[in-house]
Amino acid sequence: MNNAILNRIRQGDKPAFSMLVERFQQPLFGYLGKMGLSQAVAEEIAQETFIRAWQAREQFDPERAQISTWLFTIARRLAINELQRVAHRHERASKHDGSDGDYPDEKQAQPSAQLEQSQLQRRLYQALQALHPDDRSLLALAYLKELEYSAIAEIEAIPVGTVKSRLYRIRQQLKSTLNAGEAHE
Amino acid sequence: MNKKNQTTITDDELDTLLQQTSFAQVPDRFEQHVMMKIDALPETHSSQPTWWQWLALVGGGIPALMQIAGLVFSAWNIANAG
Repeated sequence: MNNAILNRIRQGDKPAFSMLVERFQQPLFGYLGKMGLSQAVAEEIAQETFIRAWQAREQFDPERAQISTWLFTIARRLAINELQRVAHRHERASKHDGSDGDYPDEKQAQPSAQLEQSQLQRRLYQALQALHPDDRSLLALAYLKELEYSAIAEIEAIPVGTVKSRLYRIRQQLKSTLNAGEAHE
Repeated sequence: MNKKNQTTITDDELDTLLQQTSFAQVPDRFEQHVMMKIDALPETHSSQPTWWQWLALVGGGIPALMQIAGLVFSAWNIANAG
């Protein structure tokens, strides 16, 4: 996204902002989904992210930050607030009914390989739910392929070295949870 | 990974799984929906004051300050005269 478009956005050009929405909607949904948010909540947060970005467009300074970093910082704050808001409710619901949150229903009559993959994804979803919201965010950003470590560090407000070490620890934790789940099956 | 109780998920498999799995999809016409919401927002004025706003502030502020000064001077004058 070049500076001319960003300047047009800052001046209130809606068609230019529409281009920004089109450019970042996919990675934003990818990020929110990997944070373990349901489709409905991801839609709500993605929409709110773009609306807030529009409202604060004049404050964006292309000299100081990349547009992607700025957008994901807004999305991260909204997503973590949402996760913290519902954390207690989700925790209680899972403990009482053994449910795994809002994982989308599996399609019926799947072939064996597809079913296996679907079950693995369900376990991944459950394992993600067990992570701390800050860890989920870091992991989701790292697997976007949109952002470099330096950008992730800026969004998470931590040093690059901490991004790498935390990422290693989170992946180990995730792997351990998934493997433990497999052993129980 | 493919056979139960036999293999565990490796780092590479975890990477692939995390890269390929998407739990949220962009809904149809999402972009249009966002732009409709933005169109429906009340018009916001620029947070950066323009030159005429400064002019209005100074133009209104100076007479106001002079009126206050006049009032104080009158009060002081009356007090001294009494």
